[in-house]
Amino acid sequence: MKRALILAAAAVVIVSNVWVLISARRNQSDASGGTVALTERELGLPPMAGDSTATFLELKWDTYSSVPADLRTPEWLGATKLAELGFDCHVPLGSPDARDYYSSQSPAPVFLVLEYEGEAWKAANRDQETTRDRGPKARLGSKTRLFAVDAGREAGRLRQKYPDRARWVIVRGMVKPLFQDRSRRDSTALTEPRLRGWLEVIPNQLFVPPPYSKVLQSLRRPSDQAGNQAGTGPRFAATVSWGARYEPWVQAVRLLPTTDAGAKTSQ
Amino acid sequence: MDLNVKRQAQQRADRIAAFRAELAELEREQGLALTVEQRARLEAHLDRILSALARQYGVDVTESAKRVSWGMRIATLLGGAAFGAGIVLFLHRIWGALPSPAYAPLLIAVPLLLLAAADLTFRRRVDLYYTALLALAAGVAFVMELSAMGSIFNLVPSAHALLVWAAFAMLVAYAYGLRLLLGAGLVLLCAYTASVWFATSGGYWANFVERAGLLIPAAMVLYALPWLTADRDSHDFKVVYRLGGAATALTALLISQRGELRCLGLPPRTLEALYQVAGLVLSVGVVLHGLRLRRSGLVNLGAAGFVVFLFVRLHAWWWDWMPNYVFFLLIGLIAILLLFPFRHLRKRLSERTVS
Repeated sequence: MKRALILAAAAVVIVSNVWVLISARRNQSDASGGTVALTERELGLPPMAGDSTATFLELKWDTYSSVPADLRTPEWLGATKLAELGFDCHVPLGSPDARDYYSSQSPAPVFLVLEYEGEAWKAANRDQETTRDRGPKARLGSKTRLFAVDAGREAGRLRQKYPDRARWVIVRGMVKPLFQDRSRRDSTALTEPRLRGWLEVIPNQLFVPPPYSKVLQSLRRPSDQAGNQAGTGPRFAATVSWGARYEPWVQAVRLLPTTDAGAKTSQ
Repeated sequence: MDLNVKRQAQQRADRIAAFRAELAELEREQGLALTVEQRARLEAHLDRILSALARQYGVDVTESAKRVSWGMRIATLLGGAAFGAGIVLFLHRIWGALPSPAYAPLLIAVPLLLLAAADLTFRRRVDLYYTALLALAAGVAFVMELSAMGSIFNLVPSAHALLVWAAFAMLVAYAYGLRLLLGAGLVLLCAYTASVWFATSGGYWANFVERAGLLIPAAMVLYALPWLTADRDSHDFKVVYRLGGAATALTALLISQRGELRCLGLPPRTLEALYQVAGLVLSVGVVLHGLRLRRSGLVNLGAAGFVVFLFVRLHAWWWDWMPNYVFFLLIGLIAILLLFPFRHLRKRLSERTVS
């Protein structure tokens, strides 16, 4: 009996890992989520953490809003869109219970559409140039060209709406309703409360396997020497695909010539 | 080694120690007088039994030995967790130098090798602490390994991982009679049911803690299971089920967020108060049930839960409008007042035991 239990425990280890491998293979069999060539603007290279020699890239994306302080709470993700995503938004925003009601709603898994070098990015660039904004957005690296432009419960429908796989990638994410009655920039009261969705991409970190990780080795620094790359152009480019399960993987990585020209090309 | 036999051996050693202490007390009070010959024969007999128990089953025959055993248990817990984590972190250290095809076999091998080592120590009848340490290390390594596999393939985290970790922990626990691993497995199982329930209702499973009340049904099932397995508990696991169920339910009530049960049509503050009162009632229930079963673990858990829930409720009532020092003085006063019913309860229990 004891032997059977231990063999069953070993089988659990093996079967669960085989399941992971099958899932990964199925995901990478078809890049239906899309494939885009990104640079360091969209893929942050975090400093080395502890003793780990594993290389990960952080996906940097943004949302467009006419109010720069609206981090990851885009204008298109209002009450109507939240209701479309399955949230119960029947409580009027002016109701005294509205804050408690919407704050108690839990995040829901969704599919997000990330647009590469699209209208949202152009509009954000225009705003930045005209207002010379130096708010929180500028500090958090708004130079990414990857912008979340839509969300839905069904990836297939989103793909029908956004057919170009090289321009729009469909990724897994999460949305949570956010009740706002004060400005996020200076905490002043808004003229009327509003409801927005707050977005997150899952997973937000991409593992870089060898041999691509070796390409990035020379660029990595220990965490105590970390600093931003402001003022310099992107140092590397990577081709990233999102597969049949809308999970990403790194297809290729190459180094870019590190000159200010890189920064110019993004404008 | 049959763990049930070992536990029975330890219980007999404990009974002998208690018998010796009581005999000495009776002789001092002159309630019983053995002849020198009787006393010598009795002592020799008891010594023979104890040395045989210690030799065959490694039981603790003195209080000092018991205290050392507790130290060994803590060392086992820390050692097992550190051992498993150390191996996986070492793999992270050499990750950059490994070719991609080596990742999966290496990661899978770690928990399997630790499990094989645990099995070897068990079959070689090495002290059970080594088996427990290696089994725990295998469990930690499995958790870290599967997480690492998910990371290297950039997979979206899945609730099913909780189920396979729970299955592994429970299978190993039943194989070697390890209560700590069983407890971990049961808590993971509760988390799995809650996360799947939460995901079915449209939420993202990893945020199931925001609806911690979903943990309660599984916790209640765990608490009730020992009634269904009346005489089939060879490892004395009943108390682990009850402790796991009670601890999960109390924790769920404590962290349940306001407004969770909007469907009942009650205001959030009323619901918050209801949760806390339910926590107080459940704590008292656990204490009383623990007393009835003579399980100190349940009594201590219930008592700790009662104190925490009482503090949280009083904080909600008084903290905002009362000076802080008055609040804490009142808490102290309540603690003193609580000693009276506890003393009364203890007296009644003592009387019932004597009668």
